[in-house]
Amino acid sequence: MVWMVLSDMAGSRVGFPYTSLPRIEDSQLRANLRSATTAIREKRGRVVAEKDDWEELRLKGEQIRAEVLNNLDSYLVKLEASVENVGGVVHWAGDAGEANEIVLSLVRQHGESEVVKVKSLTTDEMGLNEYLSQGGVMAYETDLAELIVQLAHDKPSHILVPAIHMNRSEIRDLFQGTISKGTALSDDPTVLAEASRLYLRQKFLSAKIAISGVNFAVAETGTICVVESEGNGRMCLTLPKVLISVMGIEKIIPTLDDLAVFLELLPRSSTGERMNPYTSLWSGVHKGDGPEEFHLVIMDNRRSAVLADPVGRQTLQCIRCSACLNVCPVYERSGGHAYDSVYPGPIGAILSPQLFGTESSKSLPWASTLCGACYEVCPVRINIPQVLVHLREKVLTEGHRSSSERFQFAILSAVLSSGSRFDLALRTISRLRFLINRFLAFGSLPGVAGKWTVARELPEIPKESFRVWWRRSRGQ
Amino acid sequence: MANNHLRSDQPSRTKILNLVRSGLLNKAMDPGSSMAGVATRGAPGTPLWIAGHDLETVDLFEEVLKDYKARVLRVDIEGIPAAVAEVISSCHIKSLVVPSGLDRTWYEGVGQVQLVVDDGSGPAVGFEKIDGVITGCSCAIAETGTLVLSGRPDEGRRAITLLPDFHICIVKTEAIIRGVSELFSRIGVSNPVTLISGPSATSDIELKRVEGVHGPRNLIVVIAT
Amino acid sequence: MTRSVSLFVSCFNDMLFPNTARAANVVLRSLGVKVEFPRRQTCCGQIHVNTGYASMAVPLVRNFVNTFSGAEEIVAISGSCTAMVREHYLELANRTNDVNLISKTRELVPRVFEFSEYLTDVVGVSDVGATYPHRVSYHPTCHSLRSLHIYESAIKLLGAVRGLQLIDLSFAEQCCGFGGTFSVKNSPMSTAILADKVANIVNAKVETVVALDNSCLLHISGALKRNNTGVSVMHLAEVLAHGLDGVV
Ligand code: SF4
Repeated sequence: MVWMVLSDMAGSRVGFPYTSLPRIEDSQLRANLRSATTAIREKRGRVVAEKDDWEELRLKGEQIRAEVLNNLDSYLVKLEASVENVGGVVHWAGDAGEANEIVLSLVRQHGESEVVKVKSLTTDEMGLNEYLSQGGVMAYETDLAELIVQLAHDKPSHILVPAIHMNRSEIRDLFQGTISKGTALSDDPTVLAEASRLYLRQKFLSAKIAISGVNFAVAETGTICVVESEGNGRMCLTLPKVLISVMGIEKIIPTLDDLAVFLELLPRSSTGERMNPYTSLWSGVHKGDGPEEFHLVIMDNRRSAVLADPVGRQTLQCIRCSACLNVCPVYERSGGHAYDSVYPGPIGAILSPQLFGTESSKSLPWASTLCGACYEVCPVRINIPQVLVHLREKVLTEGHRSSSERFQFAILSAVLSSGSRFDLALRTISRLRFLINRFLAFGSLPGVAGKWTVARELPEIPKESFRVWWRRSRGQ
Repeated sequence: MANNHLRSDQPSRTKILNLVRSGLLNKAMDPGSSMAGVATRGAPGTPLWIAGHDLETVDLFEEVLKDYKARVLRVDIEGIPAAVAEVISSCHIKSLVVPSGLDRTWYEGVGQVQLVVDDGSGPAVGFEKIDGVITGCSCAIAETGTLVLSGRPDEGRRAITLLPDFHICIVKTEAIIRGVSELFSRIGVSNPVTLISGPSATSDIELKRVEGVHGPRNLIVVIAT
Repeated sequence: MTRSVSLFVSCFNDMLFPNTARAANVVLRSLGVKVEFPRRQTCCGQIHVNTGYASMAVPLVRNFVNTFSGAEEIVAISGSCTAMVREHYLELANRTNDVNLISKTRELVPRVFEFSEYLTDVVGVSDVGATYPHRVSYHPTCHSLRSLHIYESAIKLLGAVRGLQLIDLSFAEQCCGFGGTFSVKNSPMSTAILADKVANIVNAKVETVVALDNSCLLHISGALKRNNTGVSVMHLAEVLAHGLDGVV
């Protein structure tokens, strides 16, 4: 309670409090988000309830991912050897710039100016599409939602449903102006999906190079796994002659049996299905089936720094299911764009500041009530509230919050670390309570209390604190 | 190709591995008690755990498949040709591709249909003009309604089950396992593996599920005992 | 053998909600539990840790441990303060490298209970003899629900109160949007989340909302009052003290 008297410390023009504001006020967006997140939450709840060993599966998932991270160097070397053993080529990229260069030069080596792409957050993180287009290569997104976002020159706002912020008539208008030029469309999702099928089919059949992300890479066998729903992934992974897959260093699973655990955890957590429609596994190149050339780009891009943080390390356990977004009360009212990062929601609030360290991302650890709903659904049991609190301290220690706030908390700490000083403080407040209560009743208040009273009343300070009553009555 | 990318040419490899190794000198924080992060039983909004299905494995498989809006037929082994013929005619399939290792007796009697027997040698382009495909199935998972194709001769290469609009999959009951955890004791990964659970679908527009985007829009499963 | 507990009331309740602490005292005594109030107690340090000043919470941890380490059992009337002790105290004590403090903390933490959990799990009662003839909804606060896993004990205690009609709150498990300093640092977001909670409360047509944390209740009641809903809020201890002797 004492913090009510603290003065205001926000007011910055960057960061989550600022970027979320217009979204909170956008009632259409809030309605879209609410119905979407509520629907996925319910679906997830139903399919999770079917698995009476769900908590054991989560524990296994956590253990497998932690084991990989704690021995990441040897798993990386093992994966490299297995992939090369089955005819793949492994490339290492220290950062996004290097990963982009590798991909562009591979495309150029084959003399191509077009590639097809399967939805991949890692390549979004790299800004691959922009980089390729500056290099004269057009990358066609083939996942329906990614296509929508690309055509609209917009940014994804959800890990799993990137166009969650757009409704059907907005998408209809977009398609009529782009891929279905000249043809009138209805806003029926079936019709819109069909329009994208017609447009993309030619691309799939003519493309020579495909680029994908990686859901899991099995160290033991060099097998890569991509999960999807629409079949665009299968098209990209099967038809073009050259396949380039890009992964962060953390995406490794030791064995095929370990992979099976994640094939249970991921779809139920993610889309709330027992299993997603298509899962593709391949090991290098297979004669007579699929690409003749396979390249695996393994990118660090500051993940090794996240790994070095004893509390932050668990962030890398993430399998990008997006369950944490769907249960987050903050995400539900801000949407993904407010996070100003490829990674939104609770996972974004812990991953973005660690990976990017930008000024705006440093506000994200505070963009949470610490309600813990994310931790409860996370299939690999990342203790997101714990990491959030850890990052708050880390950001402040690195000196990115006003020193007046630090000063106030230091005083508070000095008062509260001794019973007698707290006694004195309470007695003083009691003495001044008429003044304070008058002040509170008066309305417009400065600082923190002013922010509080925009939509909430403040209580009156009672005549007697509990300790004073106890001393007087001896608890009787 | 691989020669252009000798490991020694990649300074980033050494750099990344060194960064990872030095990062690992810090020990990860103890994940703490296993009670934390677990849903509180009985509380609102948390899953009401239901007892495991008591359905027989094959019946469960059928139930889950139907949930995906797949069409399911149950027959004896001898009944496969008749079931295939029925599907071909009721779906108005005029052209078919089959992998060369598929039992011929299953499709020989389908009547006036253009037939391509694929041995994986030609280009994949062209299959998009064919209406349907028939395959076998190395393994199927009951709990998730999943068909697992692993490149066996009766399953063929991946392109044939991707481009036609109808996929007729013949699953022998002995191929059906209960759950995902048994999967890799049944199949290997030396060939590409595709797990198919229902027809292609998207929920990208207002989360409304639309069956059929790029893969086959119709999945017909013949379960043969 | 009579039980004896030390009450940890929290800085917040001490100053603003003395009636909750008095009610807890009444309920515990009516069950034959001897209640102490160690006067050196102050604050658990949650606000420092949650805002990012964990190192400044260390002296508060030391004060808490020194104040309570002689007590048999400690009962806290705030779910989030109890969660603070369970989740963070050992880590904070470890930072000091003070072996004495660390071992005292390790012994103390398992003896700290949240009020309702103490009643049902330690004393083993669900009916304390209270009467409260009103329509009530229970809001499971995030810390009590997800850190302490308390739900059924609170429902059991409320269910045994005479005349009390327990009404389901839709989306009850969802956060109220308080979050400590979050409520001012991200004030518009906090009140947007709160608005939905309030709407669900109004839809439930109840007279009183009950929870295990006065901080969340302060936030909720702030909006209930501002919107003139006529719905009041109450800590569980106050409901349970209704109709018992010695009620304030
Ligand atoms: S943090 Fe957990 S819940 Fe969130 S996306 Fe990652 S794996 Fe899923």
